[in-house]
Amino acid sequence: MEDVLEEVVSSDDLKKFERIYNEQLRSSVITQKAQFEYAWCLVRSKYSADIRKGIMLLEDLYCNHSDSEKRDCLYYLAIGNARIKEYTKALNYVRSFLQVEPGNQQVQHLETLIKKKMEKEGLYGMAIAGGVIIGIASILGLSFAMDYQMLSLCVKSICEYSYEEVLEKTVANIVKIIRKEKEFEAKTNEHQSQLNKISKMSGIHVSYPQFNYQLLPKNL
Amino acid sequence: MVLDQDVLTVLKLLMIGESNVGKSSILLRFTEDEFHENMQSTVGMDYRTKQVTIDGNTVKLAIWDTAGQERFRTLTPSYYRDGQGAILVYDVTDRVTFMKLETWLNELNTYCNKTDIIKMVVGNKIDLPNREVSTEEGLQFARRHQTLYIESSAKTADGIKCCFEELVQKIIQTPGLWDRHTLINSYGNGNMGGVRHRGQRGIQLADDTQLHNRPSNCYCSLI
Repeated sequence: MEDVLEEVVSSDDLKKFERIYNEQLRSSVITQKAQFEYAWCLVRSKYSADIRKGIMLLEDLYCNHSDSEKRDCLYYLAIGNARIKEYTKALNYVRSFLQVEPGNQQVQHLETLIKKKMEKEGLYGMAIAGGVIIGIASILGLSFAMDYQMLSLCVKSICEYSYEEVLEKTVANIVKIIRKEKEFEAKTNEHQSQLNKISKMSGIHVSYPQFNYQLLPKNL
Repeated sequence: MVLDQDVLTVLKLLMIGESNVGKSSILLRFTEDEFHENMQSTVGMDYRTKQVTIDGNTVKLAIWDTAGQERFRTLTPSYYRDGQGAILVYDVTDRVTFMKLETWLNELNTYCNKTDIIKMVVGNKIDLPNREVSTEEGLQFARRHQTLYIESSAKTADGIKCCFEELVQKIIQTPGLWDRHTLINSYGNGNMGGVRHRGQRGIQLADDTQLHNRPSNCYCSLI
């Protein structure tokens, strides 16, 4: 465990505070304390359904709490949202906290943690998107030269960060693309020769439709 | 940065004590070497890590900073589990925080599963003029409860480094309280790998480095 976002609640704790909350729910008098403690456990659960429930409880508390407890809600709302990858929401909560307490070290630290996590995952997403673009391009049958240019561009931008995962994915994609490219070439040649045969036999000139590069969008 | 392989072990430390005694300030001074005049109270829990090298051993410290406020009291004890060192902080200018140490110590003994956890009592804010608790009283308390004792000021950085160093030194010197395996298992919060963690104090058949270090307990007859 490296930071507060990765901390997981023990199932004993979760069960214990769930029981207290449910008992109060049945007697229809829920104390803020029980609700907060249960929500605090929920947002640290490893299941996103739990975290979402915790967020709901905290949002409810936030509307009914006094100011001193609002900050507790904000802090754990930020953690909960970051854990289910709702980074924009999480950062919004962090920022509204920092508006009240600009110098708060704990919350500033949380902000950097969330940003770090976003960066990590954003990069990862970009790598996959890059692979998909290259994949589509190769299926469309772009020329080798163009593909490699794009590939090297992508690889260059990704390599700068040297994430092993990203590299692995990219290499796998390159291999896939080359294979597809070769298949495509072979098929095109086969079609071309068949067409040539037909035109020879029938005397009618039939040409294989050439790929029109002009139709491709300029910016991929 | 030191690579993970060079780290001897990961130690879980806890910071406990009344609200506003300076737990977070001590931690901030230790991890970032900073001091902020207007530290706000901690929400629930905070967590920081720091690598330190003491007597040639590099250890990673996973430090849990607990909120001292009453409304978090029911949930914080869950963090005590598997703690190897505890820093009990009081404010030397506020006698009530000193008297409450007894309660904190009891809570620690109740909820921490490691009976030989090393405790360090810290009298903080010695830079302030209006002192209420004398060094003698602090020392007496520490002696009575067999804990380490130090006085500190997060503001002037007095005693801060020393506090952590002495605590870590004592933990390292206590066999059975820590081992290299902590690194392989999920470390920090015992909540994560509780089951694997619990059996650690038993005999380890696979760890030959420890076997070599242990003096042989059989003897040969010289006849």
